[in-house]
Amino acid sequence: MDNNELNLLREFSPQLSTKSRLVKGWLLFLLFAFMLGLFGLYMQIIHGHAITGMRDYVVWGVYIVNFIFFMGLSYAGALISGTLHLMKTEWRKPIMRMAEILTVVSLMIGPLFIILCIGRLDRLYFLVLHGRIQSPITWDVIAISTDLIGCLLYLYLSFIPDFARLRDFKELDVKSWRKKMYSVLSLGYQDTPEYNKILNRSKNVMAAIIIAIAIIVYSVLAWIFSVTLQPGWHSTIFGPYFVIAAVYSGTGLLIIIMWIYRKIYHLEAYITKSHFVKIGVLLLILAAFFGYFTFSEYLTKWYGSESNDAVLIDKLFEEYFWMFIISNYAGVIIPLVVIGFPKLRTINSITFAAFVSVVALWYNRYLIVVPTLESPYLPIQDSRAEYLYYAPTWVELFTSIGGVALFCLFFTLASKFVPIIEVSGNAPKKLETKTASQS
Amino acid sequence: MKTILIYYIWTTRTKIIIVLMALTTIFCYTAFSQNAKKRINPRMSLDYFNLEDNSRILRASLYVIENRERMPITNEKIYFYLGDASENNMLDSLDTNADGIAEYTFSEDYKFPIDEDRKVTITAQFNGNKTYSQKSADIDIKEILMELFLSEINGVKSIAVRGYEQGNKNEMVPIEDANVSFYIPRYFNDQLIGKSEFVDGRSKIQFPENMAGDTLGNISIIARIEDHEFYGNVERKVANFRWGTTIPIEEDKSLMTIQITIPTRALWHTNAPLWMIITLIVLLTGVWSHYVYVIINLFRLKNLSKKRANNFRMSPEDNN
Repeated sequence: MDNNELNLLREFSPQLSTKSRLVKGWLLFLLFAFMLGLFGLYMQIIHGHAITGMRDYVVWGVYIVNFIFFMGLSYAGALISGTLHLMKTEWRKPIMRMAEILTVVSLMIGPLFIILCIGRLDRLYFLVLHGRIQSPITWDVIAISTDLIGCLLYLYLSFIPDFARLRDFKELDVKSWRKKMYSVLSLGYQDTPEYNKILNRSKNVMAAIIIAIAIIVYSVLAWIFSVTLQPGWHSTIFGPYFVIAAVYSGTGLLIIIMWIYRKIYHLEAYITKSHFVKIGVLLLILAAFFGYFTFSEYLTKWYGSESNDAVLIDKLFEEYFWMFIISNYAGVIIPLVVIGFPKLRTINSITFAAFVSVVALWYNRYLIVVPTLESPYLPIQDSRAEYLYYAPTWVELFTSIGGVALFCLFFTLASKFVPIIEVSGNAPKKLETKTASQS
Repeated sequence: MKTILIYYIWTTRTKIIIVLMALTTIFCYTAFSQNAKKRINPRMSLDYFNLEDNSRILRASLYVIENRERMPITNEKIYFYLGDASENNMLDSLDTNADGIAEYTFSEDYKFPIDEDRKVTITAQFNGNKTYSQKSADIDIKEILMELFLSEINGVKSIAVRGYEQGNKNEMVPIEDANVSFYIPRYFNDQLIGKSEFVDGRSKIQFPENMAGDTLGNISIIARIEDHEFYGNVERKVANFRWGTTIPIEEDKSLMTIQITIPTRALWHTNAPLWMIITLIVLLTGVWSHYVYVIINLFRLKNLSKKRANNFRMSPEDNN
């Protein structure tokens, strides 16, 4: 372990402890919010899905919106961390870990929303026993489970050197079981060329494969919609559109996470404005692509004036007017303006633009799922007119809050288990400056 | 002290929390209230039918138009009133069926309490609930008597109707300003064969030649006043008389020899298309082989560590 790494460990080791009041309070708050979600789930199991806002027409509500949203976040993390690793970008070090944790945690949370959406959980195993290869749902189950395993492997590979550093760091003030855990998980890794050769080769393979899987898996998710004959879904560009939108929202959330950890852990020396600008420029490019795909998608439908598409577009511009404006106008224009003009580029403004993009993309998913289901090609027979309208109930709100809390809880716990900035390997440039100034 | 307290509360962190809470509130507000269920404004139609069996029916239909589709509102109570919607005037209350329709049938001997203009006003009302707002509809009805006659004179076949309104003193007043349409019931829909106007309570058309009947040449005729401002829908029917031409049944053997080829593999079949299975196997093999390679590497790392530990334990003996 060199001096830089040692200094980093000394600086980050207090962050690995959960002793501070703020951390305990935050964890308690998250647990409380998670309990709210569990209560919502309990009520849903007792009373059935009638307690939610989902009915004959809108059978996919906020749960599926959250599912697509979280899956999108995970793919963004995978694409960013995988690409930066393969390109061996020098400035990636301080943000790589956040992207990797984002990938795995959101990939663990996303599918939970599917489980919430299933009416008969006791029949879940039917999917394995009687699943049909022709069904996009089966493709999705296979794809997500494969992706989750791949991302976990990739995350573990990137954790191994840090586990070894933590194992060897004598000043670490954590419980003995954690030290044992670091020792077991590090697989006896030593910072020697022999170990690094095996590890780097594995990481390169996994980085390449998770990029490919991320694209395929999110396209599969898009195909669940686009292979269905529904106005607004049956589109050939849905695969790339979903991928771009996913990376866009994930990049936005990554910037927000960078901003939060920078403030809380005082990482100003490691996560600099330059990092925000670089990821911000990526956000800008993605905003432009997202805007382009959105425009292309709605223009063709509007111009074609096919009756059901026209109904859907009318609905979007009337009943969902503000949501549509925030999602497809503000969500594109604000990041383009804020990051596009160098004078406006500050850490806070880039974070604000990122926040707007995340909110916009959640709305985008809502607008893809709900209004389409409210305007099907064929009316459902013997249904009630009020079933045509969807509004999430408190149960869906509670379970959604619970899901978000679980995401924050897992992220917090992960950042308590390993340093939020990768300690091993080459120290970031700013770190050297800081170390020099300290010495 | 106050200044210190304000300074303490108004830290950067507090500002951030307040901004985040404000943004989250805006987000939740737009997400969950924009589409919050608002009371739906339903539509209602009320029609009067005087059918061939002399039954008299009020039909109230409750529905909404959504996505250019008519959607029935089911299981809601409709109140029928004779006159305005006051409790004393109530005829009955009935639930709408699966088609959003509530039908009130007048008893056979029921006599409408008609006014000076020989009409009676009927109101149907839906009182509304949490989901739907209140809606009502009313119609003016004049009760009529209508008869349908068939005649054949010198080979010319005619269909005639006679219609009278019920007067204030039970006298018969001939119908004016109304049209009657004549139909032959067919398999999918009724075939219109003519229309004529009532003149002095009478209306007549000539039956068209060579109208197809069933295999025996039997035919039925319906005379209808449709959607009239006061008479509503009045219908009379004469069934099964031999004015139609016969149609011989021809066996079309080509229809009986249709061969349907059922594919052994298809999207809708139990067996998936071959290309789909191959693609899935190739993709999964490609991905999982990489995983296996990485997992093997992890074991190699572990073995390398074991080897190093053994060497480390052995090295002191070697030194001795």
